[in-house]
Amino acid sequence: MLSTAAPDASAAATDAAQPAPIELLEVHAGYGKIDVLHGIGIAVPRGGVAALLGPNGAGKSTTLGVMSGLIRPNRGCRHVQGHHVNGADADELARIGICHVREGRSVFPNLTVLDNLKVASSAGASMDRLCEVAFTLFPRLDERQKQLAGTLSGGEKQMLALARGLGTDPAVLLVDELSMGLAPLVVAELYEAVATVAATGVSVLVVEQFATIGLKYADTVYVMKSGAVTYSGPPEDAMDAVHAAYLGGHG
Amino acid sequence: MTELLQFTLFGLMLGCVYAIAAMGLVLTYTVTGVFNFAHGAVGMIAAFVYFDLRVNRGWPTPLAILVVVFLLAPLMGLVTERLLRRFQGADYATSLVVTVALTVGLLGLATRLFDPGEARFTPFLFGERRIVVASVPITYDRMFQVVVAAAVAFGLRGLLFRTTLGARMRAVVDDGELARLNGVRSRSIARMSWMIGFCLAGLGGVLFAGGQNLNAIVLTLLVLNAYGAAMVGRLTSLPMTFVGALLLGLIQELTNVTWLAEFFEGLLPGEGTFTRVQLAIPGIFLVVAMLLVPSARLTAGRIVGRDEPAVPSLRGSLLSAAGLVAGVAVLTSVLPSDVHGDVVRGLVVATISLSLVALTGLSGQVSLTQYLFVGIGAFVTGKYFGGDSVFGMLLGGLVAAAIGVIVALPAVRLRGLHLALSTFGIALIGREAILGDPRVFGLAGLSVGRPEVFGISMQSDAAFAVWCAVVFSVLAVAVGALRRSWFGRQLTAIRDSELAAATLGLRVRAVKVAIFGFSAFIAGCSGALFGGASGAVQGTQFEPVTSLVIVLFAFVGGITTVGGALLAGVLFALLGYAESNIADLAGLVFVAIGAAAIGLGRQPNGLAGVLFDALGRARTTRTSIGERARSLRPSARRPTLELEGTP
Repeated sequence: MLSTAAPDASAAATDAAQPAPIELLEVHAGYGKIDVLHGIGIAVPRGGVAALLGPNGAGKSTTLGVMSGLIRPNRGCRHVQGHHVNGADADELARIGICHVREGRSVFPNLTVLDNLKVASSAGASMDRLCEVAFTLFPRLDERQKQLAGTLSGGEKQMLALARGLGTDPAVLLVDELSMGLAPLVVAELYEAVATVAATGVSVLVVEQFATIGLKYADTVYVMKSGAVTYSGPPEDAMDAVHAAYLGGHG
Repeated sequence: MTELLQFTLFGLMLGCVYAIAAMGLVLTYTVTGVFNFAHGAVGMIAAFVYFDLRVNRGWPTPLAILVVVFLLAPLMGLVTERLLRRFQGADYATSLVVTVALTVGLLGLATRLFDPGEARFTPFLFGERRIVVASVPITYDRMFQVVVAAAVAFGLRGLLFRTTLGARMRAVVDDGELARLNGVRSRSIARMSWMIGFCLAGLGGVLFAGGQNLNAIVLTLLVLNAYGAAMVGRLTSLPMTFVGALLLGLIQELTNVTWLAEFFEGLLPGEGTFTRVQLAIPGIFLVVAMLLVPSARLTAGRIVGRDEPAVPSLRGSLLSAAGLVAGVAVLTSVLPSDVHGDVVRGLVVATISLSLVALTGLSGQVSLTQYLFVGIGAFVTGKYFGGDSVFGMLLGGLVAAAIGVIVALPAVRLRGLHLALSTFGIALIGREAILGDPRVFGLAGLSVGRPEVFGISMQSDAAFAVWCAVVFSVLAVAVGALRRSWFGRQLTAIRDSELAAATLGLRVRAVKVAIFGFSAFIAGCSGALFGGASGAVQGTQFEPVTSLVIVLFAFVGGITTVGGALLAGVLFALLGYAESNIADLAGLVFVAIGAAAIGLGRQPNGLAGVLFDALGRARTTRTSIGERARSLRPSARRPTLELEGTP
């Protein structure tokens, strides 16, 4: 029912008229009757890394939830490849290639590493390909295939979560707070993996509270505060908006 | 020694059938989060259809089993999944009531389709053939049960741990949201687990049916016995569920061993007491399994917007109470005397519903044993006062309250679903050990009279109806006063978040026990009215199934308000009137109330809520018409004309 958003790097580089893989237009959304997002507009640029920055409670995770279909917009539109898909469920969007790695160790704790990957194959990727990607990128997971994911270390859990994002060959990868609670070395390793996958033409959106990490890897930056986008543009000019969002004042 | 061996083997084999049914229940519960109370009723329907196909239509046994277990049962599962989809994410009470509604509806359907008066003696699957194991003759049927149970256990394990579908199922159990993000079609997983669960319920029903004269209620309760087994597995572990099922089967059969039975008979006073206790074993097992469940940890609840009904003032509730009494007095003088009985019965049901309003509406707990308290109230009234005095009713209420407190003491450790299920276990015990005992109510029933108040006799139906209205009104005013009191606020706080209430220093358990006792008091008082209405009462009038039906009436009427309880009574009176005047309604009342409960499941305040909403909307519609009328005035229309004029 929905056209597959397969990455097409050559076309993306030249054709600016092609619609963004995911775009939110004037979206109001939240939990129950309470709106968290007040009419935000964000487009994930085709084939690149975009960073969504902002302080605690700015609505970053909610934005990702709307993009991946976990949260339905109360008003406004969710567009995938220019198609209006407000009614689509998260599992449908996952199967057409939108991969959302949630904040905080997005793995099934009571399933083994292998079973986690097996479930990840529900989005349409082959199990062989998933295992290949996961175990070459993160050899540590290879040693722990039969271990319950709940018993992995924080970094290993995050690797497993990210392995789903990388191994299912998504068109869009949405990653939430990759760095949370992890050692700087592990964070660097994970972000290198994200950069590698972005180089193959996947459109990536990372959410970060630590602005410096986000700014380092992104080509485009969005800054959010209190449910609204306060800046969108290249990372070089983002610092003022970031300061304003984190420290107050007007940016 | 042979006897011991024999009953051990029989026990294990009986346990195998329980295991089949219980594993289906656990699978559905873990994957979908819905405890399918209707599991027993599904098994019952499967058994009836199997009987019909095999005996009445002469189908070959394997074909009949195939059609029932692998076609009919999964189809029912599909329909149920479709019905329940609307309730996704609802609280436990809603999904419990919906599956209770399904149970009652299916029971009604069975009475409708299969005349209960007809004998249905179901032959064994393999006839009378048997083999002898260590000098114990065992029918092929029992052997078959063991084989099937083992196949199901290993089959489920293989499915869950060897296949991709199984991995997806476990993923949904672990983290449903993440499973959806992984692209798992959670809806088809849910559908699958409903179908497997129903398959196993049907299989259990067919296996239970062999050698039995089919009876809808008995069969439903038989499959319900599996709940205790599922509880041993804490509703999540399949292996522990299997162990629980074997244990239950063993306990049930081993009490038949002569020297054990003699020993217990010597311990218990009175002839036949042990037999009653034996019948109550499944209920006792369920309650004990509940007691072994570790105390529920307090967790922070979700934030749920509630449509809280308005709390009436004391003046308002006194006025409505007076209005009700006057209304009933007028009604009985207007209506012909042959419907006075229906008015009385409606008011009795309204009073019983009121006891649920006090419990569920105020504290959010669900009780499935309310008729036990009604029975106790009726018994005490009839036994000690003959019903002639108001004190009989008060004493009945107090005794019921005392028993309610005793029942609640172990149960309040638990929350939500577990609490509701343990009350059902208590209902099962009460049914077999107290109400079912012919010595309690006597073989001919216990006569309960109607009181004389301040020298006014309530003998006539019309006068008794007014008396019922008075009792209902007094109790209703008390419920209203309770809601406004400090105690009522504690209840609301606990219902919204036990954790928050506990951190504030409220004594959560004491408050819950107290409201349980208060609710039982109201139920006990209504027992006196119940007795007075029918003149003589028998234990069979207080079946656990009746408790389920009354919960549905209360929910449909509106379990959050006193008005809802009254509506439940009105509904009951109307349905009762219809049933007594239209010949062929057998079972349809059950079907109707079940359907109504499912239909209104999303409306937490029941019919009363719908009515109040409609009244409120009528009011707002009026104002909006006024605004529109204003906007039609020339000054408001001018800008529109200008706009139309611009090119």
